[in-house]
Order: sequence, then structure tokens, then C-alpha cells
Amino acid sequence: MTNVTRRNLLKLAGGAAIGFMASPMPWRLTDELAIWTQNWSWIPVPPKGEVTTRMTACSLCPSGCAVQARCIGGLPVSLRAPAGSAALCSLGLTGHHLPYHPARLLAPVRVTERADALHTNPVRLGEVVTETAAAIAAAKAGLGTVAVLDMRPGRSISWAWRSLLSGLPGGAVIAGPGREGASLATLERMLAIESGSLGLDFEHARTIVSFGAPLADGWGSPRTLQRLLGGSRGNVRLIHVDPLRSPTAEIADRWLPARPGTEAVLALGLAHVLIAENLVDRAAAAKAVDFERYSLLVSRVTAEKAAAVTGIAADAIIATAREIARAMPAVVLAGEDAGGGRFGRAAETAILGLNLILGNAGKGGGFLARPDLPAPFDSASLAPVQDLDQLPDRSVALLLIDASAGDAAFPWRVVERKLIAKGGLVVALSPFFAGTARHANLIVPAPTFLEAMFELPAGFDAPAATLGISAPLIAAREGGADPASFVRAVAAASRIDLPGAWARSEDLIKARVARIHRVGRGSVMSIADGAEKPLAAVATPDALLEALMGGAKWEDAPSPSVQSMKTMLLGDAAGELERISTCATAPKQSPQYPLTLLPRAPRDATASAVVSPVITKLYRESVLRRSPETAVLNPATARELRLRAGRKASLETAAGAIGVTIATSGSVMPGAVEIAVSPGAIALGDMHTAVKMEILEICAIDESGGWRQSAARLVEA
Amino acid sequence: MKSSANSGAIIKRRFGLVIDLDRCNGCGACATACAVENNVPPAFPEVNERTGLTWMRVYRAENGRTFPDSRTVYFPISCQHCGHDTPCVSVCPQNAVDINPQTGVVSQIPERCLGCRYCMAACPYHARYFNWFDPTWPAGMEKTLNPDVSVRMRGVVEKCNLCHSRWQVAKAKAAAAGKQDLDPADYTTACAEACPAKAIVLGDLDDRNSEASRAAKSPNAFRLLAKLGTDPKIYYRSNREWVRRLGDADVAQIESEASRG
Repeated sequence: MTNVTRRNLLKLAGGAAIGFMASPMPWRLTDELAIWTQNWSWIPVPPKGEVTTRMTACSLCPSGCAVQARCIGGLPVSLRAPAGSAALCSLGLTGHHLPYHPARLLAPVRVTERADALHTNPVRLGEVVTETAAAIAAAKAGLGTVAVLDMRPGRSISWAWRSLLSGLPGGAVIAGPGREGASLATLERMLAIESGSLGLDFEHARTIVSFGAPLADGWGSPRTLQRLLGGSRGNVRLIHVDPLRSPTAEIADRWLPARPGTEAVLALGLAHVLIAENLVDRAAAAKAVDFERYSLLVSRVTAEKAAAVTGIAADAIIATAREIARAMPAVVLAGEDAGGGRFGRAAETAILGLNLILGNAGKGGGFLARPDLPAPFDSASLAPVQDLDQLPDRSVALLLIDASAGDAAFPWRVVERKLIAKGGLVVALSPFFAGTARHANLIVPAPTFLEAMFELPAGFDAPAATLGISAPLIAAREGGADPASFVRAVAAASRIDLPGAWARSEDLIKARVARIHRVGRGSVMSIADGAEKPLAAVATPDALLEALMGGAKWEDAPSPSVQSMKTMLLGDAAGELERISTCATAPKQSPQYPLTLLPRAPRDATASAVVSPVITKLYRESVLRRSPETAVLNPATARELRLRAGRKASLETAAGAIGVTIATSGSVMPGAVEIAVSPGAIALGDMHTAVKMEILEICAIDESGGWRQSAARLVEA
Repeated sequence: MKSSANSGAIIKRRFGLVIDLDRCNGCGACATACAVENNVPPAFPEVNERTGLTWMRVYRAENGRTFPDSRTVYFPISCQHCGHDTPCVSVCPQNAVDINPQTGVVSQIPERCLGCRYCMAACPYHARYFNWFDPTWPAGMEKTLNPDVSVRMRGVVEKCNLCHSRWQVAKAKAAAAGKQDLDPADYTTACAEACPAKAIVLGDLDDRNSEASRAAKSPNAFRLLAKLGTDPKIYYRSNREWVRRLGDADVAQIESEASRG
């Protein structure tokens, strides 16, 4: 019998330990442990269910791209562009996240400000309606006017708003400031177009002259970008005027970095060369009632003088004018920036006037007349649709904001100064407690993308009128309110009779579809199979609605040419252009504010009040898109002003200051500060980080309500 | 080129991407589509570009000259799916990284990963990411997750797998149709599908008839850090010489350029 000794026990234990380590057991245990720790109950589990594919259209910006949704158990889990359609942007690809965004509102709220922070308290919808009706009654009694800020004009709901306002003092629908295509209203006035609107025929243009239009950042239809970037670019030439070396400048054939604020002079300089070298369309120019005055005015802006003001060489100005005249048809754009807004009135007039002397109006490859979509109902009187600068300051007692179909970025001060001295009442219809709605006193939660039927009238750059419908794919959240129902409720409480037999937004859209069917013009394009059939072949309005709900798009017949007998090259900016044409040098910077602040944004950053939290991949988890707290300037400017990259600084203008981090890049014009207007913490779904002052709130507002550039300085902290 | 192994049952392919940098406008749709497809969670508030999860990351690089001669290029960089001496495969103590012999794709197996991050240190392309936090989405948003991709836990490394789940779906579709091999039209990555400029093309680099193969052989094609001999399967194209020269730059240099910008 063997004695069990301490030594034997130790040998056994040692052998067992070595044997255990040599066996697969520890590795298996480690594996199991690793797997176990990866399956905690709080780790989200993807849904399971039947896989289906449904078609709809994106309503998050005016482009209305076709969308193919992959659904699991009836709920969309991914969105993509159907074959043959334009690709979706980051906003569209993540649109199915928005109904679950942390800033989503599920009940009407009253917004209060306490300790410099905004708070929301739930209220009943009836209370909002009662307070709105009381404000309307006060306006009727002479205490101010009523206005609607419509972020997406042209929809059927816009007619409902216009009917509501038609009998109210000074009632007007205001199109969102700085929106894309807003400058076309200037051209329409220069062409004295009385009905319909202008569309753009990019497809047949041989030259695109873009003054600041961020085509590569989502300006206009995605098809334009695809044409410029894709293999089918062919012989279309892009000339881009922009002080920033933007993505559009990168793809341009010719880039003209004019000094900020000198675009009008550059346009007049180009006009000078075109007229002096007899490169204008004589027949088109003869239609201008002020051609002689215009010729006299541009004769003062020689290429050399324009060069001195803009910083573009005279040779380049002359070559550009000849290049445009050689490759006609050309379309000249005064592009709005999603963050920087519009050019001023004078610059827009000077830039768009080039189209009139080149004969681009009413020509394929230029600007085409576009009849309006049929109204959803007949109405004896409708309030007008205006630009914000047409509204008198301190006049609005009740402002209703319709941000139900999208939002825009602009300094709130441009709207705030229109409110009566006491501030008036601001009521917003918005799915989110974000964006413009944060300036409201009361917010009514509207449905968001995929929760309700949305109407998609043609984008501003479509050559013909179109209509698409964004079909709902998920049930609307409880506690929300349909915008048309809200209009009806306010009208009832204010004892205003509204025309038409509609109760909800869907009714308005269906009524408009029925009217399109009755007109019987145009064709219906199916997204699923690309087939196009004449509208006359669609048997009933219901069949047309069904086709549109399935992703099809109705397109009007080809547009007639612009019927304009008399045009005005100087529009309503003759005085300003006279003054500009006499300036011989570049605008001087004040010693106090030696820099020019240029706020800019891609469209998908500002088209909606919020973005999917996944968009942090672009802003926070990489440096592809700059944060709104990064001020970028040229290294030479930084050296000159003794500013160092990476340092914290205060960016100051006459309107205020914000904290930024300094960055340098050789792509920024000397003397300029580029700053991104991008989604803030709340828009990205972070509800706990304190809200900072937004860059747009410190931008200077010019005479025509623009904020494209401001005098600024940087002070290192 | 297709070659069969053993009895001929396995068809070997060498999938890769060809990215045309002259078409890329830096919109970021590829990065967004990738995150949605692969259930990559949004960032926590404290996350920055060093701790973020971006299987496809777009860098901005400049030519080093100053205004107005400065030029910018956008560089989408994902796992480069190295073919030879794959650094991450050789250093992984857990065999959590391997190369799929059927596709040539470098796979990451999160269930095996212990989170030692040797592979991250070894990767010359900085294309691997560590889960510093539990993956979370805002309440309700978990209903939008892709059911074909499982969610990874805190403490493991993850990276691009050329949308492995899509390859599985395409393979299943081919099998259901009685085919031995998938139809190339049925398999594309989320980034290639989402690119509005069609700058990204996926294809079998050994198939002479594929668009990707032809593009990869074009004179303006190059690979990142080709001098290391890792045989990446991600090709880039550009007609600009200064852009092609960036292919030999350290990715950290591109990163630092981007951070400064």
C-alpha cells in the first residue's frame, strides 16, 4: 500500500495543472466565456420575421428619390434605391431610423425656458388649438398679422394654409428662407411670368455655370450629380464660382474662386465681355426693357475692373465668357447653400441676368416654363406665397411653422424680427423637438417619414411638373396630429369656413391626384419596372393613386416655352447694381473684424430637423465632415493673425460669439473662415449634452435677409 | 478565373473592391450604408474618431499646396483584405481571424475574439475597430436592425467583411436555383450599392470578365502600401499622380492630414 505523502499530493496537483493546461479544456472554457459575455440580455437582438420588399419614395428632401424598403415582419430594416434610380444620400439611407429618434415628440408640448435651457411640458391638442384661435382673434382685432412658415411649399397642405389665412389681416404663407431654388423666384420676376414657375433642363445643357450651387453636396436632383460624376458626363462642362475649394469645385472643369461678396461684379464682368464681343442672343436681349441701361451699367465693369474686385484674373474672366458662349445651351445658377442660404438680391439679379442675355429662358438646356400642379380644391381666395423679406418687420402676431415635411437651417433672427415686439405666439407642426421647432412656444407632433402619406411635388430643378407619393410603411405613433386636421380644427375654433371636403392630409393628396387624372396629361413612370405609360391609359383616379403609392411618378407633358414678352435685366435691384458697378476695388475688411465667415452645409445635414444617430459615423467617429465647432482657415492667415491649429478660440461677429477649435487647411481662401453648419448633439440623438449657440445665430443678416458671409474675428482662448 | 479544390465542389473566388477616387465626392453614403447593413451602433457621446466604429471610413487628404492650388481627395478606406502574410491573421492568438478560401475575404469571428487588439496593432491600414462600449441604439431603433447580421459585444474587434451576409444570401439563392456558383449580379456590398457616383465596384479580381478585374488592371490603379507585400484586394484608381503617391503614404499620415483639416 502506497503512502499518501505531501510530496505525492503536490505532484498530483502539479501534474493535473500541467495536464489541464495541455488539454483543450482551458481554451474551450475561454471560448465559452467569450461567447457567454457576448450574449447579455441587454444586447439588442435583430428582429425576425417574413422578408418582404416594398416601394415608396423619400420625403426627407424635395428630390423625392424612389426607395425600395426591405421589411422584416412588415417593418423596414433597410432602404435603398431601386435599380435604375438615383442613389440615396446618407439621410435617405437612414430614414427608417427617424420614427425612433430620441427627439421624437409623442404629444403636443409647451416649450418653456428655464436657466438658459429649454423644457417641454405636455399639453392637450385642444389647448394648442384654443390658444392658436385666440391669437387669430387678436390678429383680427388689429394686434398684428398671421403668417405660416412653410418649409416645403407646393404641397396640397399649402393650399389649406393659404385658405385659412386668406381672410386674415396680412395673412401670408412664407416659403422657408434660404431653401434650394428660391433664387428662381428672382428670375421669374425678371421674366415677368404670371403663372406657373420655372424649371431647369439640366439634361440638355452643355454648360452649367454655377455661382455657389453645391451640386456635389446634394443641390438639386441627384441625377444632376450622377451626370457630373458618372461616366455619362459627355461634353457637359461645369464652371463653378465659389471662394471655397468645395467638392463641387473639385469636379468642376473651371473653378473661379471669387472673393466672397463679389459674385455680382463677376457676373457683370462676364456680361461686359459677352456684350462687347457680341456673344449675346440679340433676339433675347431685345426683349429686355432695360437693355440700354443694363449695357451702360456693365460697360463700366470691364474684365480688368472685375479682376481687381473679385481676385479672378481678367484673362480668366474673358476666357470664361467665351467658353460659355461657345458651348450653348448654358444654364447660369445662383445656387443657395443649405447652410449659407441665398446670395443677396443684387447678386442674384446680376447672375441670373446672364441667362436672359444668353437666351437661356425658354430654351432646351436652359430654363423652361412649368405649369403648376392642379390645386387640390377650388378656392375663391388664397393668401399669397411670399419670401420672408416681403413681410414687414415686427408685424406677425401669430406664426405657424409647418416643418412636418422637413426643415431648413437659417438664423432664427431673420424670422424673429418679423414677430411683434412682445414676440407673438409661435406654433410649430414638427415630428421632433429639434430644428426650427425649438423656437416655438407650442409644438404639435406631426407624423414623420414612413409614418404617413407624404406628397412629393417636383423639385425646383425638374424641367416639368411631377408628383410622387411617399407611402407609409409603419403605423404612425399615437399622440401625433395630422397637419390638415390641425388646420381644420383651428379654422373651426376661429369660425373660418374652409373650402373643399377634406379632413386629413390624405384627403387633400387624393383630391389632387384625382384632379391630375381629370386633366389627363402626361405619363406615369413605374419605378419597379421602369415602364412608362400615358396617363390616359390609367383607368381611374384610384388606379393612379395606387400606382403612385407603389413608387410610380406622374410627369407632366413637355413644357411649353417661356411666354415672356418683356424682361427686366436689372429686376428690382437696379439701384444696388448701379452702386456695385461703380466700385473699383474689393470690399475692405474692417480692422476689428479682419476675417470673412463662410457658413456652409451639405443638404443632407439640414434638410430634416434631425438625422439618424448612425450619422455620427460621418461627424463624430471620423473627420469626414467637420463639426460645427471647428473653424478652418488658411495656414497663411493663421500665421498672420498668430492663431494656432488645435487651439480653442472665440469666433466673434457683431452679432455674437461662439467657442470653436481652430483648424488649418490650404483649401481655404486666405482671409476666410469656413465653418460647417452640421447637426448638433440633439439632431444626432444625444439629448443629454448641453445645447450650444449655433453658428448661424452669430451670422450677420444683410439687407435682403441673407447670411452668406459675415465679418468676423478669431480670438484664441 | 475559377478553380476548383479537391473534388471541384468549392469554387474559389478573390473578391475585392475597386474605388475610383476621381469620382468620390466624399458624401459618406458608403460609410452610412455600411453601418446600417452591418448593425454598427451609433456613437456614444464620449466617442471620437479614435474610438469610433467605422468599417468604412472616408478620409480627406490634400495635395499639400496652398490656395488656390490646393486639391482634395476623399479616400474611402476599409479592411484591405490582404492576401499574403496577412498581419492580423498571423498575430491573432485565438484564430479569430481567417481568410475565407471561397472568397478571399479576411473574416473576423467575434465569438472567438478575446479583445487583445494585437490585430489592430498589426494592421497597417488602421481598418480594425474595437468595441469600447456595449452596442446600444435609441429605444425602438433595434427594430430596424439587419436580421442577417448579429450584433457584436463590447470587448471584441470588428471590421469590414465585404458584407458577408449578402454573400451568404446570394449563395443560398444560387443553391435554391440548383446552381453551384452565385450570380455576380446577386452579390454586391452595401458601400458599392449606395455610392451615388458609382465610384465603388465589387467583383472577383480573378474573373477576367468582371468590371472590377478590368479596373484593377488599369494603369492608374494602385493599392495602399503595396510595398509591404500584403497583397490587398482593395484597389484604388486615380488619374492624378499626387493621389497615387498617397498609396505609399502611411495611413496615419493621411489620418493626421484629415484631422488637421
